[in-house]
Amino acid sequence: MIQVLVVEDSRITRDAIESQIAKSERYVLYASIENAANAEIACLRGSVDLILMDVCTADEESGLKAAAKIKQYNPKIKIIIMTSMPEHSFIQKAKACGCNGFWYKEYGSTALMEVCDRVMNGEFVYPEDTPMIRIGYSNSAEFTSREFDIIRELAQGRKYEEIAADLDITPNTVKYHIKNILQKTGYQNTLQLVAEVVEKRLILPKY
Amino acid sequence: MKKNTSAKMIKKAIDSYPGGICFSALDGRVVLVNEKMNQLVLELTGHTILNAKAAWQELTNFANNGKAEKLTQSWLPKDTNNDNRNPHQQLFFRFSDGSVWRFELRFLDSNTVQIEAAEITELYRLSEELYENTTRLQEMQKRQKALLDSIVEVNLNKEILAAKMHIHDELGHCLLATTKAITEDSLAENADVLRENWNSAIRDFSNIPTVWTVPDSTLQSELLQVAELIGCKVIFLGEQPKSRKALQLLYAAVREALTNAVRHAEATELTVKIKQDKQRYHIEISDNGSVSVSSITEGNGLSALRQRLEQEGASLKVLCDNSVSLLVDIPFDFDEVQKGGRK
Repeated sequence: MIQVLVVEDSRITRDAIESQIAKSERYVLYASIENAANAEIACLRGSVDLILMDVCTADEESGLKAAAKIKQYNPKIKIIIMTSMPEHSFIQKAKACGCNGFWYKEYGSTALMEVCDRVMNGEFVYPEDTPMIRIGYSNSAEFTSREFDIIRELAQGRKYEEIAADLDITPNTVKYHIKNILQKTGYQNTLQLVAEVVEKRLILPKY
Repeated sequence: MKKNTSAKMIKKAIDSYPGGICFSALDGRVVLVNEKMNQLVLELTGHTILNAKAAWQELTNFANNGKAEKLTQSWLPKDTNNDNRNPHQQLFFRFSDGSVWRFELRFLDSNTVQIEAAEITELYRLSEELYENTTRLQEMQKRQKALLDSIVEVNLNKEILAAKMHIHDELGHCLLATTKAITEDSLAENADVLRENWNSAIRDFSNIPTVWTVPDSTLQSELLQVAELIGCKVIFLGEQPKSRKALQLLYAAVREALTNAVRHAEATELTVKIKQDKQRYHIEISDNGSVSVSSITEGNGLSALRQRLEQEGASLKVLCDNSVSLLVDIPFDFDEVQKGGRK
């Protein structure tokens, strides 16, 4: 039987996942926890085969950061990242830390257990893209990668000069990108933009 | 004759200067002063400049007199083109006509002092506007950060609200169906369906947590449970911190120590001793691991922990005396530490 560690802080979702594991003949629940920071400890004795890891977990601990640490010491443990957040960088981060799968709780048509089966059969299962989210007059697919970088910096309260230094570009280039973003979305200022982007969970810099 | 003409020309020239200007010796004897400066000082002190040093002293100690007020705001447009070789002092006044003037005392050389007054009404207005805009922007940034910090909790609250609405609908449906069955005298024949509906609603209800924020006790209990799962007991000695932030730092240190103790030393017990003085918690985390070490190389985990602790004003020491212990100091009041850091 495949031993599964569930890391999920929403009780309703956790109960639903546990119930699907209980019904399965291939999987058995090893442990179910709320805080991603405790996941690395749970894997220390080498009994875990598969982790279903939420991104935003209890006490603001990041499932992606925990996954990266676990993969460093236990590359054989398969990890599937689960999220309801359409944050555009999550897929990229999950791939960067070697996670084996990615599952959107509220988007897409693939069932979680199907993703588990495919991952346990050696596949890397990722959605093709992040869900498209409407931001003002534009949608998230219309932003360039650089524009996302800049929105992320704005969401962290950085000033134009700080953004320029962080991204190794000039303050004028920052202004140019911001002007383009505001034109696309139709917002009057960056505060409206950031409020919308954060409210729609397209950018969550903490995770 | 030529010398007199020249002096008159100089006087005429500085009188036509729109600002006020006064040159004096170090002891305050006036060498040259223009009409505007005398007019301004007259309005402020009630007399023209007799001695520049005394006049500057009066301006420094100026008490508002109805004709003018002294300005002391932190955002006043000070001339920052200042160096140690040529130091100068600045005073700001707003006159009853609304005009704002900056007075500046400058030592030109070892014998000469210059007092200059320049009208900066527009500059003052713009500085005030800039200050207000900066304050507003800082406030907006603070709100933006708070919004970002709470977004996950907001999301969870949305989930619980949706679940509660679902339960509300289910209960409403059960009540309506039961009422209908009673009034139509069909309770017996619908008993099974009604019982199943009520059981389903009750099951859903019991699945809804009433508190979504993880309580502090859960922070610890989950860590202890996970430690037990891998065969290591964590023992806490002493009173634990009260604030959630201090607890988060404490548990981050315990997790790191636990991971290292089990991974590298096969430990089965981790002891966390907590002492406190007036300002800080002093925490020592040690284990019963079997490996004897005299020194360790700090890896990613310990470095990341050190960085996290130091960002919050706490500190970390690694003690290698056969076994490895972590010594963590955590301040009581994070706000005070952060204020101290900004000074």
